[in-house]
Amino acid sequence: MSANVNGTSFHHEAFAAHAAHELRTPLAAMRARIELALSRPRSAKSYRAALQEALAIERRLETLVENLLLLNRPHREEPGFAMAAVALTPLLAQTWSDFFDRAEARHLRVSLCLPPDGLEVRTGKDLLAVVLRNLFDNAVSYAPPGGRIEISAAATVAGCEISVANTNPGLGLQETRRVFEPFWRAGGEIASASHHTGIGLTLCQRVVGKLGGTINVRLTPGNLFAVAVILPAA
Amino acid sequence: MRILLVEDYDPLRLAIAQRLREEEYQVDDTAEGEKALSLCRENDYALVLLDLTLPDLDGMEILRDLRLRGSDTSVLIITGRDSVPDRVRGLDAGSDDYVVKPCSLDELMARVRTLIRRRYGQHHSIIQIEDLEIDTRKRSARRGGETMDLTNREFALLELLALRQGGVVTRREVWEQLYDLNYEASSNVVDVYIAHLRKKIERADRPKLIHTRRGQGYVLGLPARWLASSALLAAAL
Repeated sequence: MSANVNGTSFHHEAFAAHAAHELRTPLAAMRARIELALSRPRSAKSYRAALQEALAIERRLETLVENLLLLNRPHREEPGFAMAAVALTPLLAQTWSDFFDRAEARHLRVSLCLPPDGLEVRTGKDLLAVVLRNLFDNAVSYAPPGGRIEISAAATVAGCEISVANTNPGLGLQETRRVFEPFWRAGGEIASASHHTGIGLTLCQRVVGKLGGTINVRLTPGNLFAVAVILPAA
Repeated sequence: MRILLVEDYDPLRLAIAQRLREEEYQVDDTAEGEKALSLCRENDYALVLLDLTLPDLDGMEILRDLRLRGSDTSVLIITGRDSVPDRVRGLDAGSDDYVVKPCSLDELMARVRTLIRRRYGQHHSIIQIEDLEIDTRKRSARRGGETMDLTNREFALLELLALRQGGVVTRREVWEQLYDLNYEASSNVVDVYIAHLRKKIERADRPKLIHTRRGQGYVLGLPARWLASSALLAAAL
């Protein structure tokens, strides 16, 4: 039995096995962290640190579960799929505001190049927000500390293009061809430094497809890993 | 005892490593399969805790490499892969135990203790040598019923000698099992700890238990050949 996620074929069984593994690992970490804290009397500072770590793991689980549910939801139940005129600049700025602190903490230089006179597309606002959150989360997580993030939106002949680019953490050309595969993650330090589960871009590809657009990635001459979302004109 | 922990999810690896260290194990940890491969080739670990899904290679390759090289290091697979074929594959490839995430840390520690004991042919958590009793679970030792006040490092040394009771434990082995990669110590640190342990264990009115084999290492208890000669002598009488 196989399913198709916007051109990426994979087996349901393999997907379920991957999903189970991805859920079990943070669950194991949360359990281990809590049991470790309770295994002997500790200082208030230690308990606080344990709770903060458990909360960070819970956030990963929350994102993962939300993405898995969205990815496996029958199309007719897709939320926010009602097409409406959406002003891109406020949506981008508002969504980015949730990532501002993390970018600051990692000393990332961020440039937002948004059209001042506004840019409107006819799309599913909530679904597009899911895509933007995943792209911003990836950019903030994978750009090396002190690196760059460039976010832009512009009108094109076909509609509009939203681009989210970050300093390339070390991806090669071969690896960029695999970024949409479910549960694929870059190797080595890139993967171990992240809390990511490898389905964010798979989900983005599917959602953008539902919105009638396309998504692609490329490495720029300026050493950026760039994701472009192209949405059709209204 | 020195343990290698291979797990790519940082929060899980750090929590398990801290618990192991609080249980007084020496722990090297890595998130990368290639690093784990080279660490296994360079060091003689008592146990490897091995995740299978690593960013750069399948953990099974590390297990296969260990067994192909004839290593008897115990391997405990800890993974999210829970299917029966996965478990069978892991055990058939030479792992000594297979634990599916999430699992209790207490249970994991019990399995760690069991595997380390088994590696040295011990099946009980209490090791008795003459009038010396070593409780590997409670991490305590008594001689002639009197509890000894040992530091963590001294207990780890005593436990290593006790697990190999009657056999020679080389200085290199002591060094490898009691010190992890982060430790830098002077070359005579093993001798210093042996001296400390002797002071606490040996009694003037009791048989000597820690013996030095010149150019070889240390033996706790009566060496096997002594026991064999005693048995022969007893049979002859």
